[in-house]
Amino acid sequence: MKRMPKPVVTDATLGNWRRTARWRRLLLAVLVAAPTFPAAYVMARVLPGPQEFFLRLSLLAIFMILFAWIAMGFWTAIFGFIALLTGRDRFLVRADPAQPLPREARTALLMPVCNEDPQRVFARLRATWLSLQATGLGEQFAFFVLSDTREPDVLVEEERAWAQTVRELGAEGRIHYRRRRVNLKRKSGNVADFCRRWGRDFRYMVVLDADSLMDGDTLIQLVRRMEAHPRVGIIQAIPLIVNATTPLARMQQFVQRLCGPMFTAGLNFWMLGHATYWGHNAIIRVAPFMAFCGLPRLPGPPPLGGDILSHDFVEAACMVRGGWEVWVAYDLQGSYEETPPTLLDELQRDRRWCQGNLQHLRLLRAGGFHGLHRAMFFHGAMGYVSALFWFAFLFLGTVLTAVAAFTGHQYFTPGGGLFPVWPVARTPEAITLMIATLVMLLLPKTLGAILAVSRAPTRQGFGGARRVFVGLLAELAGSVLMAPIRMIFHTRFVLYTLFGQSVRWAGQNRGDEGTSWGMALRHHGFGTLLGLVWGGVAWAVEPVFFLWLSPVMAGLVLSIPISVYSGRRSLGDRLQRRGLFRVPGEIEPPAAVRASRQNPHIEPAVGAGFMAAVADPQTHHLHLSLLRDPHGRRRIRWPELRDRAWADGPEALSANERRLLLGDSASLSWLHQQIWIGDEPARAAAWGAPSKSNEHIPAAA
Amino acid sequence: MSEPAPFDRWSVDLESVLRRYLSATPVPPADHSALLMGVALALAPHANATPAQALAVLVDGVGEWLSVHRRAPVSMPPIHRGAMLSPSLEPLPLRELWRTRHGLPQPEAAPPSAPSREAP
Repeated sequence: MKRMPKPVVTDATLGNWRRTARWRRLLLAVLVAAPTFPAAYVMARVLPGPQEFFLRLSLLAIFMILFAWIAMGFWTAIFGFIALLTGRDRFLVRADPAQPLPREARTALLMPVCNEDPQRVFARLRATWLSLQATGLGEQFAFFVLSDTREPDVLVEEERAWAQTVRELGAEGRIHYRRRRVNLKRKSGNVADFCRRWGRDFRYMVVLDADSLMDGDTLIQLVRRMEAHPRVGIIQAIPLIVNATTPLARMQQFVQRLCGPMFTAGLNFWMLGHATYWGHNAIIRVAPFMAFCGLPRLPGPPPLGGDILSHDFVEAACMVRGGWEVWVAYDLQGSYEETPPTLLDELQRDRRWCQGNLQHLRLLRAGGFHGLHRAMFFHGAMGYVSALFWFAFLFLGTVLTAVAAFTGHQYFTPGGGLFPVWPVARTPEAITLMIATLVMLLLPKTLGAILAVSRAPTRQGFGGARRVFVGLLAELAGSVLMAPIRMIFHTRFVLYTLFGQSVRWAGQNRGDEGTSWGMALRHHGFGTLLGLVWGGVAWAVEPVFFLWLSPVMAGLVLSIPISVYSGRRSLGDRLQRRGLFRVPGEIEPPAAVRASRQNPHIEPAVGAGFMAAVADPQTHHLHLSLLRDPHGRRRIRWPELRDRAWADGPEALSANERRLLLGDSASLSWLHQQIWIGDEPARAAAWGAPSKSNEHIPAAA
Repeated sequence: MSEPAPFDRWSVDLESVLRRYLSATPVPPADHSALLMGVALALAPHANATPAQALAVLVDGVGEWLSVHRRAPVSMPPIHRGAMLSPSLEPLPLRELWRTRHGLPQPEAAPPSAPSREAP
C-alpha cells in the first residue's frame, strides 16, 4: 500500500491548541493528585508511634510534595510514551521540508563563550559551519562568537583560534568575533548586547552554548518552521548528549537517549505553545525577543537578587507574556550538546543552576506571566529544593524512629481511657507504598527502554535489546548510588543560596581531566562522614530502619570512590569497548559530531596565550587589530605596568594585570619591540623569544 | 642584502635582529629581502635612526604583509542600534496579579505583537 505523505501542519491547525492545553493540564493535575493523597494516607498509617503530632505532620507534608513531584514526572513520561508509540501528535510545530527560505529569513548563530577551551569551541563551530554549508543554504546564516572571556591566556588563544578558523573556512565576514569589555548581566547580557547592535539585521537567531553543536539540516528546518508559524517566538530543539567519555557522562548520555525524547514529548503534551526555552539549541524570533525579553536586574544583592542567572526560563515566560508562542520540536534530530565529565563538574554547574532557579521564586508574583510559567518557575526551584525536602524527610524519619525506639510504645495515652492502644504492624502497607514509589520512579526508564527496543534501527543503535536492559540496570545502580551525593550537595546549594552566598561566574570544565583522590576527599569528605555517623545511629536505634536507609548510606559512604571512578576517562573507554551504555550514533557518528571531534590545527607561535600576544608577531598583530589599533599608536595607558612587565617578566603579573595590558595596545607594541630588538636577551627569553644562539637565520638573499 | 641600502647604520647585527624577527613570522623567506629593503629605504632619510626604529618599521611592514596575506577579519557588520526593552518583573499585589493574568499592557515602543490567528 502506498504510504500517504504526512499532512503539512500549518499555523492554522495549531490555532485551537490553547483549549486543548487547558484540558490536558487539568488532566495532569488530576493524575498527579490521584495517587498523592492515597499515598499520603498510607504514609500516615505507616509512621511509627501515635505521638509527636507536629513531627508527623511535617513529615507528611514533605512526603506529599515529594510524591507529587515524582508523580508529575511519571505522568509526563506516560504521555510522552503514548505520543511516541503511536507516532501521532496533532500539536507539533512542523513545516513543509521543501519550503523555500525567503532571503529575508536571515539567521544569526550566536555562540556566547566565557573562558572555554578555544580549540573545542571552534571545533564545534567549524563542524556546524561545514554542515550548514553542505545544505547549500549557508548564505542565509552568519556566525557570531560572543566572548565574555576574562582569562588573559584563554582570551588570546580564542582570538587565534577564531582567526585561523575563518581563514581555513574562507568565512571572512561570515564568522564574527566580538569580545565585551564589560560583562554586564552575564550570558543574557551578552546576547542582549548582540541584539542591540545587530539584532535588526536578522529575523532569527539560534543561540548555541559553548558545548553545543547543530546539524545544518536541523538549522534549516528550524528556520522553515518559524517561517511557517509566524506566531511562534521560540522553538527549542532537543539537544542530545554526545562525545561522552567518562562513565558518568556515558551514563547520562545513555539515559538521555533512552528517556529524553519520551519526556520531551510528554512535556509537549501538556505545555504545547507555552513551553520553555533551555538557553541553547533554540531558534528565536529576534524582534519580539528584543521587545519583551530584556531582563532587568532583580532588586537586592545576589544570590537572590542581581543578575538573573537562569535567564532562559524567564525569557520564554516573557515571550509568552508578550503574546508569542514557545514550542518544543522534540521530533528534530541533529541537535547536540556535551555533558560535564565528572560528578564535581556536574555539581559545580548545578550550583549555578540552583541559584538561578531559586531566583525564579521571586518572579512568581511578577505581572502578566502565564500560570504555567509561574508553575514552571516553582518546578525549576523544586528541582533543587526537593533535595532539601528529601534530606529533611530522611532526617525527620530518623528522629521519629529514634523517638519511638527510646520512648517505646505508649499503651495508655493521657485521657485515652482504660483500653490500651496495641501496636499494629504495618509492614504490608509500608511495602505497598515502597513498591508504588519505585514504580513511579522506575517505570519511566523502563518505558524508555521498551520504546528503544521496539524499533529495529534504534535497537541496533543501542547495540541490541540485551545491551539496553543491561545498561538500564547499570544506570539504575549508578543513579541510586549518586542520588544521595547529589542530595547532600543540592541541599547545601539551596542553603548557601538562601543564606546569601553567591556563585562565582567561571567557565565550565568540559575536558577529561578527571577527579583526583585529594579533590574527591576535599569535596566528599563531609558526605562520607555524615553517611558513617547517620548509618551508625540508624543501626543503633533500629536495625530494620537502617536497612531501609542503606541505599542512601551506601551512596554517601562510597561518595569518594564513586566521584573518582565515575569521572575516569580510562574506565569510560573500557565501558565503550564493552558496549555498555552504547547509544545510537556512537559507532557511526553523524558527520557534524565526527567533525566536531577534530581539534583545529593551530599554527605554532612564540609563546602561548598572553605571552603570544606580546611576543609572537602574528598573534600580536591580530590582537592589536582587534583593539582597532594595529600599529599600537594610541596613548600608553599603563606605563608602570608595562615597565614592570619588562623588568620582571610575564610571570610577575597577575591575571588582572595581564588583562589590563592586553587592553593597552601601545604598551603591548612597546614590549613587542623590546623583546625582538635583542638588547636584553634574558628578559626577551622570559617572553618565549628564541635566544640568539638558538635562532635560525636564513641566509641573506 | 649583500648590497646595503642607503642607510649608513646598516650592519650585520642589525640585519640579524631583523631577520630573527622575520623568522618568527609567517612571512615566507622569499619575501624577507623585500621587507628588509623596505626598512632600509624607509630609514634612508634619517641618518641617526636607531635599530629600534628599524625594527619598528619592520614590525609595521610585517603588519602590512599580514593585512594582505593573513588578513584578520576584524571588521564587524555595521551596527543598527536597536532597543532591548525590559518589561517589569516587579511583584504585584495579588488582586493586580489576577487582573494581568492574560498579559501586561505592552510598552509603546513594543513592536510586534504576534499576528492574529486569522492572518498567519
